[in-house]
Amino acid sequence: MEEKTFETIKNLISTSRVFLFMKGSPEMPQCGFSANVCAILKATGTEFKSFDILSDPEIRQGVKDFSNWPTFPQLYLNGELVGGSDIISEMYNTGELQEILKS
Amino acid sequence: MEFEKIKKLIIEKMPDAEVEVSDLTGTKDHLGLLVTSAEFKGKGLLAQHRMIMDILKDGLKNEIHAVQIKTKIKEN
Repeated sequence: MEEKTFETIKNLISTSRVFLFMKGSPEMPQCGFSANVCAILKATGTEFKSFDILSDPEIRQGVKDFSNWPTFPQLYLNGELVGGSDIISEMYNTGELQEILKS
Repeated sequence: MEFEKIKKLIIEKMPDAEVEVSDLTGTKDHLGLLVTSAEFKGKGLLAQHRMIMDILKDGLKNEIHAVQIKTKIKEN
């Protein structure tokens, strides 16, 4: 991956404690899985920033390389990947997500 | 990618795994996977899913649009 892309991604993630790479925007998600994670974050009252990976092919590929995770959405907390839609749903259902978002 | 092939791939890497594959949309490109294995013990969800993702990586790139993964720890 280009050094520049890597830096851009790191800078993006550092703009918010909770950061979501997704398809579309929270107001208009372009994929059911992205919509699901946005809905969960809203339900927990979490403020987050997001980036639409459909708008930039370089970032889209770069994030996959950065995290070594092949799919979107990808939710980051304090710069660390927490997971995608399945993991976030499961953690929300067990209450674990609410715990880590709080602390 | 055939469901049986996916099962075989996972069991090759995780011999104790019980694998259930379901076709979520009837189009064979949105898969539901339930994997039960003792190898998940002591690992976080992300690490558990990563084990499955790594096994599926090549298939995911081409034929599968989306896969829903659920992992369970096998208790002895």
